[in-house]
Amino acid sequence: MLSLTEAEHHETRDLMAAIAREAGNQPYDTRFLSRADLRDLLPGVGAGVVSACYSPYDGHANPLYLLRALHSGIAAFGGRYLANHAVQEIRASEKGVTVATPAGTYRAPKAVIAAGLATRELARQVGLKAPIEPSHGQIMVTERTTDRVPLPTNLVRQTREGSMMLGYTVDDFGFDIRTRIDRSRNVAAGALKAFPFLRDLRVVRTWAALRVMTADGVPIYDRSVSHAGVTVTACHSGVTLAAAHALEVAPWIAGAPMPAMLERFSTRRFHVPTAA
Amino acid sequence: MTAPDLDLAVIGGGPAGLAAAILAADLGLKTALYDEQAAPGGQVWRAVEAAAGRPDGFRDLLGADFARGADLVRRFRASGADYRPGHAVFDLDPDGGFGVLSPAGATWVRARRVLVAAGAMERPVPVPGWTLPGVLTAGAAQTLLKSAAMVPRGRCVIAGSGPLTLLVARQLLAAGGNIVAVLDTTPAENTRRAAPLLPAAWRAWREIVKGLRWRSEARRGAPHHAGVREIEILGPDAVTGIAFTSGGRRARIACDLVLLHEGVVPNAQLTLALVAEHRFDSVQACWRPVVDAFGRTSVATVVAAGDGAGIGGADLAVEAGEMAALAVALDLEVLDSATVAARARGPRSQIARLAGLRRFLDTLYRPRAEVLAPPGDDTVICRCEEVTAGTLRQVVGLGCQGPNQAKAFTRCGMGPCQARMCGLPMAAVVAEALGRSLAEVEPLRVRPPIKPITVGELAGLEGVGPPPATGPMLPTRPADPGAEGTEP
Amino acid sequence: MFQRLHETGPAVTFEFEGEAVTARAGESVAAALLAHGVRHTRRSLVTAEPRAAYCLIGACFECLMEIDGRANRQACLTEVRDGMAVRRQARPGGERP
Repeated sequence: MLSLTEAEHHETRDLMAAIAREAGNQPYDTRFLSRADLRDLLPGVGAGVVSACYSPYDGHANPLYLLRALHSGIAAFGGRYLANHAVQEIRASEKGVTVATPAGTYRAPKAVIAAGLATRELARQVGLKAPIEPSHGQIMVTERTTDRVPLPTNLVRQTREGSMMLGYTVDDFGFDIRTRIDRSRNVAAGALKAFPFLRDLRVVRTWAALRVMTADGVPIYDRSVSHAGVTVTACHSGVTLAAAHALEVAPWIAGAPMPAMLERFSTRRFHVPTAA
Repeated sequence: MTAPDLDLAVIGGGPAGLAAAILAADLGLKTALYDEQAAPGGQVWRAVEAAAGRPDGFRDLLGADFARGADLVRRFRASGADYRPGHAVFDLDPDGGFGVLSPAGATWVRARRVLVAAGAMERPVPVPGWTLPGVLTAGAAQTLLKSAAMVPRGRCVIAGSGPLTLLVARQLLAAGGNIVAVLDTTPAENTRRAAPLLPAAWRAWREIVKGLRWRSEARRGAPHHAGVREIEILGPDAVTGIAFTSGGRRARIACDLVLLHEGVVPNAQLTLALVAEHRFDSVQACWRPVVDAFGRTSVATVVAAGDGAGIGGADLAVEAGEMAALAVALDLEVLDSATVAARARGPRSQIARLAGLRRFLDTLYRPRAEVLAPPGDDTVICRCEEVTAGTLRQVVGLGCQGPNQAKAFTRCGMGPCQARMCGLPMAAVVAEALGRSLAEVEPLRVRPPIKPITVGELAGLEGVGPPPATGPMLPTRPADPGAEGTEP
Repeated sequence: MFQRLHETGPAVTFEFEGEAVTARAGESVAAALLAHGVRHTRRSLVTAEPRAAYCLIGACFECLMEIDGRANRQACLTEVRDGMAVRRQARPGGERP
């Protein structure tokens, strides 16, 4: 995590401390780097970088490869992917869960709601409060280059093909996914401050999308009480959490007891009564 | 929001843009024309000012149409409109703001109205071997002729369908180019379908006679094959020959250069990035912005004219440019509707005169299915990322519902050309695999910047307000008495 | 692959991969290289197959070359200048074609 101002440095430091406290015994091993160490790890890093927070556990996943792999995996395990089947209604009975779509009705013993920005409404149908809002984020992608950014950073990371992904922004624009030119300029300026050698690299596209942002930014994993068999999941980075979802959350959905670490993610936390 | 810098910004220096700028300036609108090229004329009148200094024989080669271009460019230079050569527009917003890139850097400009007259580009022709060195478009050969007085030196084969195929064949033959064969891919049934439309095109009889003359000259000058299909260009490292089917037989011709052409399509990058409404024109087999008779798009500040709004040729583009300028004048209340109606009569009548010919040509040169969606799985669709038709068909099998999803799965369309080359064939292959028509799939989403701009140039963009602070990624956590830890 | 029909202007000399190329003022780098007989001007970033200009109007981006030290410039949109240094596009991974 690179910080370009003192304020960002303090935010990062406080965020790391909060994460470390919540993680308890889990080793997080984050540390702030000296300028000399930073220059060794990230040659060409800009003088405008105020501080850098590093963890040897940092990595990045290629979202496009992951998407394709997940689709292939569904097919390989005998699952069916039904596009253009927006679920409008969920019902449950002792016979199982029924979902109604414009293209037909389907029944199964279990159902998982993982509908992103539509989860709020579907969760409400099964009696769970899942406060979720769209959070606009913008990135830009450059042409491929022989230059190297060897470690992923919050501002710049390099794909396997050699192109750089520059980011990011956070805004509330409702459901509008257009990119904004002033945000583009900001992202470019930030990336340039972090790695001045990016100056002559061409931007091939800007891209914006909506994060699935829960009210506290923390994922939701919960079971419906009123509709047996229905689970609700939501998070703003299914790419980052793919492994956790596959290895920790999926067994629980399939019927294993809930791991202790997931209890904190129930929707009960949104039922805090207002302070007197 | 600061006041606009201009009344009308014209993007594109071809027939439509020039005609619009001349009229707009004449009407007193503060007008600037942004041209990616170094001199006015667009593609069809490329280097027309320089042509004045060329030998007479060369000017004759380029034809009388060129003279019309020279005249329009002269009038544009004298019009009082601000000309910005070497200025590429990389982004366009619905509020009339647009980004311009020049050697001096990047600037955001605001106009009350914007005319997109970015013209056309050649329809990409994905055939096996089309990425080999030595394969160019017929338009590329014409560009070399006009701008550099160059003609092919080695053995050249022209393969394709459309008026430009005939024109280029004729021009290169007349200039002494070594054209070893002209392969006409126009299917026989097109001629049958188009013939009944010829009488209705009678008002454009001069253009028809000209076209027939080109055709006979092209046929006389080089071996001619008709009904050509299943083209394959042979390598391995550069063009060595071309194989094809004609008259039911497979043939092969040794050559060093192949010029492909299957018509032109609108260069709709800017209107697609704007997210103006577009429709798929099934006869011209391309996406075009939805416009009214004056060129108004679904975005209030943007008008479109010329081949960029739908293929019509240079003469039609001039009329459409004038119509667009009149619409702007009306919308900005510089002219009243009665005056606009009166002044629109001339362009309208020319447009009507040319409409019959346009329908005839569109039907005669309608691209066949294998041009839109190449049948071979090994044929490269995305040149930048080397994605084949087979790969696209495969991801449709995995559940991709359209071109944009297929792009995410395969990287098709993510290269530097921003899907200019692969957008149409990729959509056609995906639509065909889905069992749908092209009109039923959405075009690839085009994202700005639509011209190459560097990180440094974007970081230094002038004309945009002070940067808002971007929010923290995670929302501030609500007070939760039961939990450990406190807010940062 | 292409030849000039007549003299179109004063000669301009630039360097391509260490070799001197004579062009004419006003020509694009792509045109000049075609007239000089250069077959491929880069290699595909994915398969390393040889590539060259296709459209010559700035739409296909096949003509990307390193010009005067700046990477990935469209040779068809760049006018020749005396003393210009032109090289084939470098492939990420560092290999020169």
